Amino acid sequence: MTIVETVLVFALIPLAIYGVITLLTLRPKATRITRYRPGQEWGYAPVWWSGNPAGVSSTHQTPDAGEAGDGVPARTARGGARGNW
Amino acid sequence: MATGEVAQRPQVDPSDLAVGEVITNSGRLSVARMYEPHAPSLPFTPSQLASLDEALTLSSRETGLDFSVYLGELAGDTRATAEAMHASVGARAPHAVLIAVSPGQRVVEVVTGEESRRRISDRGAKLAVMSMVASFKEGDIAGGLVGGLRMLTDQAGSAPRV
Repeated sequence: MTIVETVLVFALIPLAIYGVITLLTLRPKATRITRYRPGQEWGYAPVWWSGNPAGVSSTHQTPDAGEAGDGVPARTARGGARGNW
Repeated sequence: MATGEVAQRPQVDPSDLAVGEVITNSGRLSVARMYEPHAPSLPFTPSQLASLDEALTLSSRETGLDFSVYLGELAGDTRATAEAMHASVGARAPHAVLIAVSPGQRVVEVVTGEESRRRISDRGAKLAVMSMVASFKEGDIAGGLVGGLRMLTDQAGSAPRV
């Protein structure tokens, strides 16, 4: 066995295996959750969560809710707060 | 099917089986499909979603008010859009508390109805908003929502006993 063969078998092959495994860990995962940072565009579909199992939905409109006309429900907001960042 | 009746298996021609399908020795059709992972629809981990769900459920149960969280774009005048969403709740709107967050526009709106405003003063709502904004500034949307829900729950107190 020449010195070149020795180096090829005992150094280069193990290094190649290490390299392949390193590259495997670096590949992007399809299900990875990308962290949201402030100022970024919010490219997700809107969601409306509720603690009510029946859900919040305008389709379950009841007649006693009252309407302002043109099918627009009457204003129900009485207070609250707002903020921005 | 009546008792004692023998189930008839549909006859499948082995020649029109797709890739990954096979008829086993018992005559059952076995189908293998490729698993395709799908990208998450929101930038939240499962544990963040679970704590949000728990906070929403517990605050609604404890106070008797209908808490809801909207996360997405508020088109046009953000306040008017949030109030229109509050009105669309229907008969329970006086008891509803809507927290609308639009991270893209960097705006959070808390809308209370007639009964919920009696329980949560505008000053209390503002305090909750300030706490939420502090978390949103750091990019922690889920944590801010959970904290805000807890503050609003503490403001409203427990549901009145009838």
